[in-house]
Amino acid sequence: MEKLSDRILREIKEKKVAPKPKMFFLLKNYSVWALFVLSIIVGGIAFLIILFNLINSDWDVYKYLGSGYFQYIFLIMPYFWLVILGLFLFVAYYNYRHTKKGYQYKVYKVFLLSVVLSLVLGAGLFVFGLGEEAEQEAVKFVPHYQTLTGHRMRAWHHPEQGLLAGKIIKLENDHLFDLEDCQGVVWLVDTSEVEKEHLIKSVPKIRVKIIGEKKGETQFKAEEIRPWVKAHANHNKKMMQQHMGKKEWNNHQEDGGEKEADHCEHKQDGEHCHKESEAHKNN
Amino acid sequence: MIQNIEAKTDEELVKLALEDSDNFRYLVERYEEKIGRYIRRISMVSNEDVEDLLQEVFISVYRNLNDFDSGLKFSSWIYRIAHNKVISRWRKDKNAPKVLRSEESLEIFNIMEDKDDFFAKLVQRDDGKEVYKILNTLKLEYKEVLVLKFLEDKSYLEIADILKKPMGTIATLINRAKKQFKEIVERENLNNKLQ
Repeated sequence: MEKLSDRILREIKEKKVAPKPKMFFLLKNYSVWALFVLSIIVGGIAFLIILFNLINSDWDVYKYLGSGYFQYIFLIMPYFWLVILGLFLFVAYYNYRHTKKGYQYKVYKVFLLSVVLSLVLGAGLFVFGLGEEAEQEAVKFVPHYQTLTGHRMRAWHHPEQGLLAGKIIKLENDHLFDLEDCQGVVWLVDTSEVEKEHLIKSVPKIRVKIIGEKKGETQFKAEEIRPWVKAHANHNKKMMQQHMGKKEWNNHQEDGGEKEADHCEHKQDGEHCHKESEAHKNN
Repeated sequence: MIQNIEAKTDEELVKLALEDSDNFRYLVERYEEKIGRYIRRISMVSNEDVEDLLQEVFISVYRNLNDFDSGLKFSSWIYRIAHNKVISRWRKDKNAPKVLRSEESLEIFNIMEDKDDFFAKLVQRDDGKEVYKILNTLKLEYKEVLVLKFLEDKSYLEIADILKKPMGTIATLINRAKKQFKEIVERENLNNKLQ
């Protein structure tokens, strides 16, 4: 009877079996690690946008909607990003488990590691003020993004109940501007009765949230205007600079406008600018 | 012909096999008996099938020699490949016999006799005929950890490397396997039968 070793060597030679190259296994191993890192990055970005959305949610407006606090939380949760975060945490976990030594760790430890890495990365990016940029990039690259994530805008689209949000498209005069809401309807917004501490600089292309009263089919009397984004002012500053022109912007800064704009846009819920700059008044 | 093969480590034999396929015979000869016995113990297939599986295992080992990581014991690596082959064969052929041979079951209990009081009592009172039937009702993963621990005499770390599971999970599996075994004994009232 033929020895097993002879039979195996015969098969190796007959079928020309050869060891797979070392590079094949190295590439396989690196791919698993690369996918793990990529998943952590995507998870981090998802967490960044979740944080950005939650911090920019106005936790005091639920009373205008006539709903409870928890119903409001349910309404504004960034579900799309929560699903993406969960999905990529699982992908990260799966890839880590498939690294050479990944099996040595318990499921919860690997999962915890993925969660912590994504959260730290997301929080770090948030600290660097990348939340809005990330969301704007998502608008460009994620198909149907607005449909998937328009919950926050929709929460503010209740003109009958005194809530309106959208993009300023044109300044009619010092107290009137045109605003396009999330459904493309253009509203004429009257800011004449807005108290100074509840007013922000009205500049075309800036997105704002307004509390007030619907006065006509497409007319809205504002009582309070809030910037759409509170977490950092880079985007709004850029818009203001574009609108005002370089020279005017420099004057505005010299007058202390930048300081006040920052102060205004970094405010937490319920707080608004206490004083408008002269530059704004001149506008 | 390479001299003094017995003195060479597994890692050295792997290098030699990568240099010349003929040298792969030394690894085959070193492990064919151990792996064959392991396959027999966990798969409960016929001798013919064991031979086929052994051939598949060694061809797979040869193909993947460059994937062998010296941070791992070669024996753990080859047992892992054997385990995977048995599992895929088992999945392919659901009709494969799933009954441990009685002498193997007895062997488990003879070894357990030294290591575990509960099993020791059972073995002392029975020739194993009832006992091995119970062992065969256990899930494959339970049966496998018992075989690796008590028959193959592998450490927790080696079993973890072979089955690609954390060591804590291996300890839990062994405990559960023993517990389930005990429950079946109690349910079947085997203790009384044995007395």
